[in-house]
Amino acid sequence: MKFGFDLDGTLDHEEIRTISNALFDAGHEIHILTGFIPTGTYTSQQKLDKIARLGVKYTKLHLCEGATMEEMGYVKAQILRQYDIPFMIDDDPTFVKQMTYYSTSRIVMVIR
Amino acid sequence: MTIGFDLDGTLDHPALAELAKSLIDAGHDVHIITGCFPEAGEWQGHAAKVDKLAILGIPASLADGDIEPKTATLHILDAVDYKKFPTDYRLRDLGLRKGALCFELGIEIYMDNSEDFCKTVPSMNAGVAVLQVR
Repeated sequence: MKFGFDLDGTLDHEEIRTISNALFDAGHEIHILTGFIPTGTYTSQQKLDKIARLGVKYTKLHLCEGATMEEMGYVKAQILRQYDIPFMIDDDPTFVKQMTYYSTSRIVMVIR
Repeated sequence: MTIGFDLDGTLDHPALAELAKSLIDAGHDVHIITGCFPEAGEWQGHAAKVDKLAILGIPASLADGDIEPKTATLHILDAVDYKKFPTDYRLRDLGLRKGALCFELGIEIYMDNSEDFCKTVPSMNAGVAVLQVR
């Protein structure tokens, strides 16, 4: 089965990393969907460095580009549909709203 | 790690059921905490909860029975008497009891589909990470 995880604010949680790594070790696909501003100062290499530092095992990293939170959330929803990922954990209310509206995946929101 | 899941509206989803099964297989301490409204009758009774988990393919042992290895522990919390208390009180009470149980069990991450429970659980267990299933 395929599972989606947001990076910033989500995989920062040790408990959530434990879940994603347990799923990976069990043979599931782990997709990291992270909002990305191409012209911003937070580079793709910094994202990769962060994932390595956190020790997250994953199948594919998706940089979801957009100029606004709504746009990035919409791109995340498109990725969920394109890759047929039925489950996604995210901490951002705007992303969660967009993915809930534009995909059929089960979205789980990090409350605290 | 110690993980808690609500049942109805949460583990019904195939991806959540698969997640729970993978965590059990990996040796994590998985607890399922579900509320029960006794006046609803058999369809929502304790036996129905056990049957539902079996249908979902999630191995579970009742908390007040023998806990089998490689199973989740099922905790069923009966709501207080509907003849004495209004619905909002009963739900609030269930949420607080879920939170208290999470604290007692040392649950580090808890998943529930109820917005109300996602608010009340951490009020009894400040250390728990809470995820709401939408």
